[in-house]
Amino acid sequence: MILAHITVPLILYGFFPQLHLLSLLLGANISSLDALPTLIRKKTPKNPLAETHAATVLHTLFFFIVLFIPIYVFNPIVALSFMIGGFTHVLLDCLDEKGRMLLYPLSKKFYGPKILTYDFWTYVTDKKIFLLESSLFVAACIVLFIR
Amino acid sequence: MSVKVDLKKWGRGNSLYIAAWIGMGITLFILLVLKLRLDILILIGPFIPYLIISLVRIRQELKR
Repeated sequence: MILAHITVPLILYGFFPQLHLLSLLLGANISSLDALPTLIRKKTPKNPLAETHAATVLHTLFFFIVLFIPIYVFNPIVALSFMIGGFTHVLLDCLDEKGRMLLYPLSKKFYGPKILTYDFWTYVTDKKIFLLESSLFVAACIVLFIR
Repeated sequence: MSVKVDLKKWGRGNSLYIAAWIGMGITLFILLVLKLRLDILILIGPFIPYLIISLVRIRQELKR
């Protein structure tokens, strides 16, 4: 998912305006920080599924549950928004063929329906995916205009 | 599930499609800036180095 990590939290914000938008978006994108090893690698691996990206604790539900507690002390709405944002990232990502470590730390196995492609170029050149992303984009724009 | 694509050839035949992807990204960014104002910096700040590296990598991959 590319734009969906922004559009889906925005759509959620449309349904639940009491959420804190910035925290929702921060939670929904902080997981992508583990993409650095992928970006600075010199060679594209033959099997993109063997990459570090999306295989760290940042791409687990556990990470957001753990962070929820200290942030909750500071501000419950911010904590809830951040956790929901993080969950949307991990759950949207688990739709790709790699899956995600949904049960971490109980299991390091990758779970998910695995219905979308993982490789970047295959993803952006797939017109069905474009249709999905553009539909979410239109819905998010409507939300931004209404709110 | 992955498919081999000749990106240069594909890009020439799908310039409108590529423009639509870029257009969606830029529109979303502008709408977010209007909504979040200066707070947008908190959101995009950590990703600026990533963006620069990504653009360089995409350019390198398209040149190959």
